[in-house]
Amino acid sequence: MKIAYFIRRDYLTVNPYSGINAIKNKLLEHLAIVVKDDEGIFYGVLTTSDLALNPKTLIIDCLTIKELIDRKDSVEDTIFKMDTGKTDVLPVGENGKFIGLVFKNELYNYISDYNIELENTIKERTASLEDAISTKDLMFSIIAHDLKSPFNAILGFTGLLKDKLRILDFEKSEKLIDGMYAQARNTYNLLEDLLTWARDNSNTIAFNPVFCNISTICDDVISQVKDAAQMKDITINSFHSSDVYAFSDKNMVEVILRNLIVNAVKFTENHGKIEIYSLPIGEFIEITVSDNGIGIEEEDKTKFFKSDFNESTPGTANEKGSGLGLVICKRFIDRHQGKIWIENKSEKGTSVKFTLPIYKEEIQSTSKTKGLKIVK
Amino acid sequence: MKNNIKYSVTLSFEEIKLPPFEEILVLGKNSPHGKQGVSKSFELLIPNGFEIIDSNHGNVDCVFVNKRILAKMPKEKILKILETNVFPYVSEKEIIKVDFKVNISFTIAEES
Repeated sequence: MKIAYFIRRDYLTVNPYSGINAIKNKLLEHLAIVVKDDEGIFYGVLTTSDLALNPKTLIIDCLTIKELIDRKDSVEDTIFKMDTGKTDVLPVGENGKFIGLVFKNELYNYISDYNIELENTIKERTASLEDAISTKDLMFSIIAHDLKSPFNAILGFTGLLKDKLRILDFEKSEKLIDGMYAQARNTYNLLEDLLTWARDNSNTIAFNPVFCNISTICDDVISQVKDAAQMKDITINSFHSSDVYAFSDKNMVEVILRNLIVNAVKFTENHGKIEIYSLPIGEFIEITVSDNGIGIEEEDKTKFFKSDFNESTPGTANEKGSGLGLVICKRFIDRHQGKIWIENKSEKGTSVKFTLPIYKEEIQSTSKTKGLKIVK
Repeated sequence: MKNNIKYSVTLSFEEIKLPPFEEILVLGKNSPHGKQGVSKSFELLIPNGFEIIDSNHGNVDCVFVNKRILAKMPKEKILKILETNVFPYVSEKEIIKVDFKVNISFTIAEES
């Protein structure tokens, strides 16, 4: 930090041949007075310590030599010079010409504030590093525990097929392949969750809200998860208003919907039913993913949104998860200034609801016209 | 009733010159008047009339010597005389004026 920011130009000026008695009180009040003659020639700075160390009748005889420092000098160097020169004030110049004064107490205040700021920055960075380390540990623990089991299952299926392909009938082989496919799909979703979560933690996911058709995104996601749903004979229906759109990040909405629908499939028994619908409510669209599955305990409704929880509950067909799905959903919804919550249905099942900002042409078209993308 | 006041005045007067000394002024180290201020006032009263000679003596800051004397005697000699005869009696807060008259005499013997 340069001292240029601390230069005081509102100083008092006295003639070098004035008597001390005439300015003593003013000096005590201002701590320093600039000494200049009638022609504006700079003689020096008179300080209270000059008066104490060198009491004379005229100002000129009280003055002690003080180095004229440059406005580009650093705060640290200036404090060092003040300490060396045993003075609390120094004159500042620009190209060797006097322009003002710097006071030690003001530099000290700055240093002290700066130190507090640095301390806070260090605390924040330490916290974020601790967070990053615990995230990394969590990643490894998830990789170690959650990815290992589906691979074991896939290895088991492929081992069986390899050894007994020639003696197995077509139906049994098909069943083994279906099992492998389901495990592979499950592992893929798990990896997808992990990668999304890791990227979000490292702040590499850009947030680009655009005009979004929720119905289209929903259909895309349903087609991605339809195999898993078909295996449990689960019906997925989607209803949306045709003229209501969200102003949201398409990729994030896709991740949110995929996680919620995969969860619904996971916790719904065979022959179950999943419904996805959206309604405009004020400035937001409320999107609901509802199932007639096993439901959720009242006390668990909020803990699934916390990253430190990370306990994946197996699905009705013993499907595994990362325990991060809802954490990711909440983070992405937070970035939209939306909300997410879980409701138990009066009859069997669960409804997960979340809100996204509604697209309003008159607002968004003026504020975000540049770079607006239409996702249909 | 009338108040009768009688005044008795004793007076005398004499001519003075400024500065109130002619030859030498010795400035104590902590005298209320400093070298710069005294020098400036001399400069105003008698421009180019005095030379300042700094001193290493413990109690003496400097000596103002009339240039008339310096025309007659080298300053080192003057300082030596002052160091011996004056400085031991100067306290650090004082300003001392010194009357310093110089007589020069020559003995000239001409060879025939």
